[in-house]
Formats: sequence, C-alpha cells, structure tokens
Amino acid sequence: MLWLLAHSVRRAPRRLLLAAVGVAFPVAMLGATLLFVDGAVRSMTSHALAPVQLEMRAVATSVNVDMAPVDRRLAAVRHVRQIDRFAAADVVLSAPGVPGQVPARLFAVDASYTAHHPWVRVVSGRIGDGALLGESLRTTAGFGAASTVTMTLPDVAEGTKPPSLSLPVRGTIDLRQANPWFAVPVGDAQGDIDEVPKALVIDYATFERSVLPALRQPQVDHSDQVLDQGSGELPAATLETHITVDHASYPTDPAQALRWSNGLRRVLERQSPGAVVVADNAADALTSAKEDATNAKILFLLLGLPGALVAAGVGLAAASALVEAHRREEALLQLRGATSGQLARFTAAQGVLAGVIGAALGLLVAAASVDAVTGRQVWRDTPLDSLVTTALIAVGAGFLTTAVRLVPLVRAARRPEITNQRRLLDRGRSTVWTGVRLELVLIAVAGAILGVNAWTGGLRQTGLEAQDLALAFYVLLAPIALWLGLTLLLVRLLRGLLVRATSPTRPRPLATWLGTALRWLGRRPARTGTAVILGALAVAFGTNVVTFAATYQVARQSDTLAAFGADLRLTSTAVPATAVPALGPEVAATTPIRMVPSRLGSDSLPIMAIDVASYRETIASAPRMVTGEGLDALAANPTAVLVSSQVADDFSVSVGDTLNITIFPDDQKRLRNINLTVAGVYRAFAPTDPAVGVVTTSTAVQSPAPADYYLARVAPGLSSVRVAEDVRRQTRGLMITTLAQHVQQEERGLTTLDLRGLGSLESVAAAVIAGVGVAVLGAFLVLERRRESAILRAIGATTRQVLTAPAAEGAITVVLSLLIGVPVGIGLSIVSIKVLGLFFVLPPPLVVVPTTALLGFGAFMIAVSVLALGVTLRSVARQDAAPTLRG
Amino acid sequence: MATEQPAVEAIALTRRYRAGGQRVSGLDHVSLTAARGEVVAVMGPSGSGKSTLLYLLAGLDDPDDGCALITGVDWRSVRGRARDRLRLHACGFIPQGMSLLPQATAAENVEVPLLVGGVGRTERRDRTAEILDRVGLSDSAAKLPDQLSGGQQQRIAIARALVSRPAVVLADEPTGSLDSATAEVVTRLLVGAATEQHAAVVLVTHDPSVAQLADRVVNLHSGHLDPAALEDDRSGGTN
Repeated sequence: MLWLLAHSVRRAPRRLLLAAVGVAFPVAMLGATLLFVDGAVRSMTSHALAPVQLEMRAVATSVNVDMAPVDRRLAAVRHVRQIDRFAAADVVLSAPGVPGQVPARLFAVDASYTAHHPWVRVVSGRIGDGALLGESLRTTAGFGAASTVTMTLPDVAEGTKPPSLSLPVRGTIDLRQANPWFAVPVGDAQGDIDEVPKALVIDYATFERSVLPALRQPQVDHSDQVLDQGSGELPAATLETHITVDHASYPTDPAQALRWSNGLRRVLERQSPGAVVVADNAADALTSAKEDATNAKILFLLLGLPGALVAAGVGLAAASALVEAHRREEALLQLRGATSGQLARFTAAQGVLAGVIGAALGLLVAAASVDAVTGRQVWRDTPLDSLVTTALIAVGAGFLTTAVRLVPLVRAARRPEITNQRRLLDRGRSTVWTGVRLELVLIAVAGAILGVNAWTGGLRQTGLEAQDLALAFYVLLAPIALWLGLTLLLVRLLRGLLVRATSPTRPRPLATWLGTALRWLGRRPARTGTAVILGALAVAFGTNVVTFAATYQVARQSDTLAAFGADLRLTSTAVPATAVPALGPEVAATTPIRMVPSRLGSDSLPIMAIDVASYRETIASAPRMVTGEGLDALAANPTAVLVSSQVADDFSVSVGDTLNITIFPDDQKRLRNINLTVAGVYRAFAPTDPAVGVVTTSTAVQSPAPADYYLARVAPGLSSVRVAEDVRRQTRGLMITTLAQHVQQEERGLTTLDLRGLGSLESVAAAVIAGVGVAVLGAFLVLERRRESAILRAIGATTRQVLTAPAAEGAITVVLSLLIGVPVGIGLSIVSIKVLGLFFVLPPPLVVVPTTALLGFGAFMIAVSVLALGVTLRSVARQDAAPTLRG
Repeated sequence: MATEQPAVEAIALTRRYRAGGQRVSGLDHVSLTAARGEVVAVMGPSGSGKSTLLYLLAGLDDPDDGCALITGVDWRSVRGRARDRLRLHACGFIPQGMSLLPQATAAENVEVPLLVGGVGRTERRDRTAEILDRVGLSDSAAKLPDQLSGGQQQRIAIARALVSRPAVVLADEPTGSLDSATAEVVTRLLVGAATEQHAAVVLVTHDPSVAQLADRVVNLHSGHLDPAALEDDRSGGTN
C-alpha cells in the first residue's frame, strides 16, 4: 500500500497538491481567525488591568492586628511588586476660628505612597509632620486658611475622654481620583464608592503613634473595631496593606487571569490566617474582560466562521475536480486485480496524506497572515497551549473537510464503474442542495431564530447600566443561515430563469457565438452554479466583514463621543477648583458639568446639572431620547428633569411625574429637597461616562460650587489634540483630556477591539476564495470540456470561439458573484449589526457601507478571478485536440 | 476516378511518437490521395497509424516529415486562424466515439459549423433543416444527444460534417460503436451524402463491411501503407 501511495504521489504530484490545497483552505481560514481572536482576547487582560488603581487590599480583621509582620509576609509573596501601609478612620474635626465640628475621614499613609499611586496628588506640602487637607475640606468655611486642625475620634467607650490630636496643616491633597480610599474594601458592597465629603491625610507613623492606640481602646458598642464584612459602608476604622501586583504576572487570557488573581488572593490571605481579609480589586475588571472575551470570541467566530465554511466549500469543489482522475486510477487498479477494500484503503491513505500536508500548509498560511496583519509573531507570542488548541481545531476542520471529500470516494470505490460514470454525468446537471430545498430550510431557520429573539426581546438594547450581556450562540447562527440561504435562493432563481430560457423545447437557430455559449450554459448550469454559489458566498462574506468592521468603527466612535461628550474635557486641578478662564479663539464653546450628589428615597442617585444654552453649543453627541423632550424641555423649564430609561424603569417614573430629590445629602449645610418634573426619558445623554441617571439644569440645583469639569468644543477645522496642547501651554491649573486619551483610559475591552485587522485579513481571504472559486470552475471547464473544445477545434472553430464559452462562464461567475454577494453581504451585515449592536451604548447605525473598501475588495476579487480565468483560458487555448479526440 | 486536383493528398507523411522514452514510428512515409467524390477506406489493425493519418490529413496534428494537402493547400503553410478557417471550409471531420456537443440539440450541433463560419441566420436555418432532412432526423432537431440513439447520433455527426459543404470528409471509425446493420445504414448515408456533395471521403474503419462501401481501400500496417492494397479496388475487405 505504501509503495502504491508513493508511486501515486510520484506519478501525479499536482493531484496531491490540489487535494492538499483543498484542505489547506479551511484550515488557513479557521486557523487565522482563531489566532487573531486569541491575540485580541489576550490584549483584553492588560486593557482591563490598566485602569485598576490598586490590585489587592489586605484589610485587618480588627484594629488590634499587628500589621508589621503581616506586611513583611505579604511583601515576600511572589508577584507582589509593592506594598504600602494604609489606615483610615472616621474623625470629627475642628479648627481655630471654625464654629462647631465637621465629620471627616482620616487617611494615613507613608510619604512614599504617592510615588506608587499617582492618583493621590499632593497639591502643596508633603505627607509628614502634619496634616494635608483634602480639596473638599479646603473649601469648607474656616478650613481654607486653618493652620492647625484638631481631630477627635468618635464612639469611644463611655466615661472615657475622646482622644484628640492637634496637628499643623502642612498643605493640600487632591483625593478626587483616589477611588480605592473611598471604596468599601470587602464584602458584598466591595468596590462601592462611599460619598465622603471631607478628608485629610496624615503620615502613617503619626497615625500609628497617636491615633491607633485610641482606636484599640474598647468601643462604645464593645465591637472592638472588628471588620464587618457584611456592611455596605466604609468601616469606621481600618488598617490595611495596599498591594500592588505586577501586571506582567497575570496570564494574558482574561479567564485564566481571573482564576490566577483569585488564587493569588488566597495565597496572600494564607500568609496571616485570620488576621487579614484580602480583597481582589482586579476581579471585577477581569470578570468583565472575561465576559468581553467570550463575546469577542463569538463576534469573531460569527465573522470568521462563514469564511471557514466557504473555504471548505472551495476546498471540496477543488478536490472534486480530482474525482474523474481518481475514478480512472481506480478503474486501472481494478483491472489489475485490486479489491474494493484495497481501493477504499488506498483512497483513504491518499486522503490522509493530502489532509496532513494541507493542514500543515493551512496552519503556516494562517500564522503568516496573522503575522502580516497584526505585526506580531504568532509562533513566539502565542502561548503553547493556545497554539496547540488552535492547531487542533483548525486541523480538525481540515480533517472534517477531508472526510467529507473521502466518504463519496470510498463509497464510489465499492460501486460498479458504470454507476460511477453515470453519476459523473448527472452531476453536471444537478446538485444535491437543489433537491432538498436547502435554501428555504436555511431561511426558515434564520427567520425562526430572529423571530423568536425579537419576540422575546433578545435583540432589544438594554439600558446603559445593564451592559453586561451574554449572547446566545444560536442567535449568531441566524446570519450564517441567512447568508447561505439567500445566496442559494438567488442562485436557484437565476438558474431557473436561465434553464427556462434555454430549454430545448423547439428548434431555434443559434444567434451569436456568445448567445450560443449562454444558451448551452443554461442546459448544464450546475458547475457554473456551484462556482457562482462559492463566489457569491465568498463575496458576501468579504462584504459582510468589511461592512461590519466599518459600521463597528462608526458605532464605536459614536459611543466614545457620547461617553466623552465633546472635543475636550477641562478639569480644574486647583484647590479649590476654579472656573475655566477665557480660552481664546481655538475653543469655540465651553460648558460646565456639575455632578450633584443626591438621593431619591433611600437610593443614591447622582444628578448631572448642565447649563442648557452652553451645553447645546458645546456637545458633540445629541441626547438620544426614548420619550418626551430633551434639551428643549430643560431650556423651557429649569426645574424639568430628564431621566435615563434605566431610572425610569427602576423607579417607575414617566414623563409628567414629579421627583422629590434630596441634594447634597451628606452635607448638612447644603442639604436641600427639590421637586423636579420629569420631562423626558433618555437612552443616552452625553457625556455618558460617568453614567448618570438624572439630568437637570444648574438653575434647578442652585449649586454655588464650581463645575466638576468643563466640556469644550474646538473651532471648526482644528485638531482637538493640537488645541489641547495649545491650551495646556496657555493656562495653568487645568487638566485637559482629549477624546483619544479618554478612550485609552476608560473604554471597555470589547468595544476597543480593532476589527480592521480582521476585516483586512478576511476580506483578502474572501477575494482569494472567490477567485479560487472561479479557478475551480476553470479547472472543471478544462477537465470536463476538453473533448468539447477538441470537437470545436475539429469543426474549425477559432481559438477565440473556443474560448468564448469558458470566458463567458467565468465572467458570469464573477459578475453574478458580485451582484449576489454584495447585497447579501450588506444584508448579512445589517443582521449581524442588529445582533451584535447590543454591545454598544448608542444604537449603532443600520449599516455603514465603506465604498472605497468595498470597491477595493471587488477590484481585488476581480483581479484574482481574472488571473485564475486567464490560466484556464490559456490551458484551453493550448490544448491539443488530436490526443483528446482519440481518447 | 479523380480527374482534377486531389481533394486531399498525403505525401510521404511521417509521424513519430515518444513512448517509454523511445521514439516509435506512428506513420512512416505514407502517401495517399483522394479525389472529390471518391470514398477511401483506411483499414488496419490497432496501432497501425490509421487515426494518425486521419488527424494529419485534417491538420489537427503536424507530421515530422512529409506533408498533407487539402484542396491543394499544404497544412504546413497555414497557421492559427487561417488553419481553422481552412479546416472549417474544406474539411468535415467526424471523430471517433461520442462526437456531438452534449449541451447542444441535434439541430444546434449541425448548425455550429455554419455559425463558426459566419453564415447568416436564415441560411443557417435552411441548410440545417435541409441536411437534417437528408439524414432523416428532422423530427429530432430539438433533441439533445443523450435523447438520441447511437445511430442517430452518428447521423447527426455526419450531417454536421457535411453541412458546410467541405471538399473532404474525414471520418474516424464512424460506426465503431454501432451494430453492423446500423453501421451499414450510417455508412451508406455518409457515402451517399458525400458523393452527392461531390466530396472526397476518407474513413477509418475496422469493419470490412463498411470498407466494402468505399471506392478504394488502403491498408496500414505498423505505419506503412500496404503496397498490395494501393490498387483501385472496389471489393475492399482485404485485410
């Protein structure tokens, strides 16, 4: 058998190569998609970790825990890059000349803390021998110029004099970005930010020396300051170790990173059992990244799977060109006494050999393609386990293709020769799919899937706060079924028309040579039909990828623009914050944005207060209203309020209702109840980051505080990046953020996916597949119509006349592939966008047709097809009639 | 029989092939003529060079030595389009086995040479109908080849070879796949129609009964013409 196989390979190496290429196609497509997905998913971990300010917090279970040995042990744990001591306690402050006392939060850290954690910004002075007042405390009457502060610990045991500590005020500290300090450290509410209006920071050594002993005294409630993990609020006092974990240590896959992080948390906790509870602050980000990774895989597979399918189709079609040669070879072996079992084994051995070569070839092409598109070295950068998994899946697809090809061949080996010949003849006239009405089945399946989802609300966009979603995989089958079904249906309709028009019911003289070629094509449309199906599927696939990628980009830009709100964000870094000065002609408009803490009933519900006139001038993304009016309502009635659809649902409010809201609930001096009338419900109101549920006017809240930040619109035609640079040069005390910077810092993993790489990769592959589809048709024309060409030659037809039919069929294949494929691809894209639009905050556009990219894709497909057709025509033109006619 | 320039003429035709790495002779200095209206049967065992001779005469193959002339034109002097045109107008060729275009109806198969030759639509229709009538297949004009019997298919092939009124009809085993009775009918049709059109016929056959219908029979053995058979012999059949 091996000798026979080797002999067969030596005798017909091109046949083996063609069979191998048939396998390599789907392996390459699937392999490239999987490698691309893997790379994209792996970038999500680092993306998710980037905004995490503090990875782990070891929180003492009691203030009596001696943290020094705990710290030493934690610092020794592998992957821990840095540890910092941290303590916090509720205190009551007073200052000379300030009437009454002010509740505040005391924080204690070492001076080196700010070097590791830049989100704590010392505005003036330094952490050391005194107190640094937080910016909110600085704006409290009397504390702005205070030279000393006295802090008293509340809740000490009855009969004990509350310990107090007076410290000189040494400067100001900006804690607006220090979210971990205000976040509930552990428990169900872990990560929830508590509103702390006033804060001050002292040196940890001072805290340890002067405050901690008092905290360790028996408490009023005899609780001994034990950590309450069930509490949803900040502990009254806490001793912590803030642990910085080396980001490079996290596995690149988000799911693995999440598991790893949880493991590290347990390892850290085990260092001092019972003494500390370790909270994993990275877990939420990694969980989101894990979900995003799953959705990204689904997204990529949705985009890539049709490519693998059509590649397999082309591979099978290419391999079926070998059927006739294979049949002849088997007939010869049968004549020499081979049994049907031996023939079947020989066929299987040939298939396995072609499968192995094809799979290896496909994987090489996949890796090279992804290398070229992403610029990273796949073999080197992809972990071995992922590489092996990818290879196994891709090779599995290759062997499935081989099996699909081999089954009929092995069966044929067991059939009489005459039956096989008959089947070969029949194949020219009909194909399997036409008999079972496959296209109608597929369209019905797609319709049912989409219908059920539409009916159950599965395709409806959720509110901003409910962005975590899971896509049912079967929903993604709908576009694929539609893609196949619509293409088959259109080809069937065209084929039906052609067959009817060319039916030989009565003798009709031939018209022109080209007309004759078309008439004859109508009498045996199967081969060209198959080529058109493959071409149209490939073109539809390519069009879908290109169109989807373009729409995805636009939706992504639209989302980020809505999230950011305008061209620039200006935040005062001065303490207290100051108003934005005049910014010159480069900035066309600015508008203040105030975030007002408020409560609706017992629920915290921050309000965004805007100045309607300037907001309208500045904003880059208009509000998306669900019901009621938008900015006009706010302009007409300053006490009107717009609520998000999420708030409308959660609080069962609608247009016309009145909301009784408490603003500044934690600031006794500014606390106020206001009544606001709901004038509209919005889906998105820029800026959507941070997300707010209620928007009203500055007039309604009458806040004297300066704006939290300003939005700015640059003058038409100017680059916001350049204007930002100019404004930075011209002003002081302003932090200027551009859209690009914001995207880099805040965007979710999934919407940061760059589909352009995949789009390029798969559109090129689609064009090649379409071209190969034409080449396969050409191969059939050469192989199956060799005798016809020879007969025409013997009749006296010129080369041009002989070439007319194959050229016409090739041209028809290309034209129909484009005519069917492009609209089907755009339609497929619309369905895909509808399904995957759930990922976006704003409803994405119906579809964005990238004309230039599509023209480029079409031109490339035509070029590849013309090349393939040229090879075919050259082969036909050079064919020697005599040997063919003599058989 | 021939009184004018031969319709087809082979002069010392030699054709060699490569087989198993060696040059073997397919035809060796074979000379033959056929005049208009003359029917020549070429007989010989398999591999004797009969078909090789026919393809050289049809200009579908080139000799290594010698020359083949059709209506006085040496095939070597015409190339490309001119060669195609010469074959179209001067030569009707009937290949061995299934020689019809499977996707074309009987009428279309017959009409193809006229379309190739640029004959007008009306004339094509008339001539096609006329020749189909002559071969007795007017009723089968709209049928596809696989709807016709073997004999009918060969009659269509003959009609196609004759429709452009060539000077020579070259037929390679035109009755090879037919039973003897049908074979005789088909051959008589070919000979009769060609004679009526004053065309020379060179037909290759294994069948002595077919050869009997020829004006002259020549025998080929291992690429050489058998000298004993070069006489004008209506009885043919000498093998």
